[in-house]
Amino acid sequence: MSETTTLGVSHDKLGMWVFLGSDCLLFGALISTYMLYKDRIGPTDLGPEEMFDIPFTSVSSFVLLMSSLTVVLAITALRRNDIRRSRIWLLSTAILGAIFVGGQVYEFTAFYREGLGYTTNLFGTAFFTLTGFHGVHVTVGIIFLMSMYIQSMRGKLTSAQEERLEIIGLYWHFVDVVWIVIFTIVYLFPQ
Amino acid sequence: MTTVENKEIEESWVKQDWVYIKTALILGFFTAIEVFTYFESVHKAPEWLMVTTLSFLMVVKFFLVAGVFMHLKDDNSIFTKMMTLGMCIAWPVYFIMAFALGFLPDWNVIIKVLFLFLPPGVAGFWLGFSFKGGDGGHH
Repeated sequence: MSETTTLGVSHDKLGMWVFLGSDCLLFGALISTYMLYKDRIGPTDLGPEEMFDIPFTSVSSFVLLMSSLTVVLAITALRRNDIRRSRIWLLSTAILGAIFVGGQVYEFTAFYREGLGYTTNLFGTAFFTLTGFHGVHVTVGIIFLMSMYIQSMRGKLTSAQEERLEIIGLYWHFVDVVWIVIFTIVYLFPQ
Repeated sequence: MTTVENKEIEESWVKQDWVYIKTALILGFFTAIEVFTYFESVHKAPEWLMVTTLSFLMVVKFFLVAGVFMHLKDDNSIFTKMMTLGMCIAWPVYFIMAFALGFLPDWNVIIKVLFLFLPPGVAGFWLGFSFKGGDGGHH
């Protein structure tokens, strides 16, 4: 049964946009907190300049950017009722997301080994909270994508589910947009 | 549906996919420029120049993903209004907080003021366009 709408837009999609708007504020607050505390390190602690591996993070950022392309291609393929291609792009997106999360886990482990833990100093706390929160968002996105992929394997993914995939796509693009901001402000801005 | 109509639809799909691929390539190119600024030779550039360049690239990338990949460019204008209104409110709040707590580097006042008003200005401009825009194709 088609839902009635007074605004002329899908309620599910509108709901996702409202959620994304509120998530903007959450990440804004986390980024601001990081900016405030990034210099709060002990005299013997390693700072952001010594810790960050920019070439490595750049590759991760590129992988996440390309996953935005694959998810949009999955949506357009589903719109054309090309289920096979949509499934391939969905799986590609999930794999690219997993590579990004894997990179983040590797980065966190490397930082920990170098002596930067969650409670070492305020810089560490702010950094791990911000990037960790983003990593959790990516992981949730992978779960969404995989659920759609499993649905497609069971033959339940049709062009009727286009809007659902589009909403998941919006979430995925938002995660990408947030990383664009984090990558520039946290990693690339002069320390 | 006739064969000619089918061919036209297929061509429009290919064209749409190319728009996405080109956008991704542009995003990749901008990311490469961002990373390039990290090389030692460029790193000697003044801080204000680095911050301004990186911020500009960041904003362009943000708008490309939001406009093309998230379909805000063509979609119902209510989504754009929701996103930009939130940004218009949030940016000055965070910026004023940064000002008040004095954690911003000692850049020229003009640049600080630009940072305060430019992003909400651009967002407001975009919002203005979205008011004129139709209800878009994706409902």
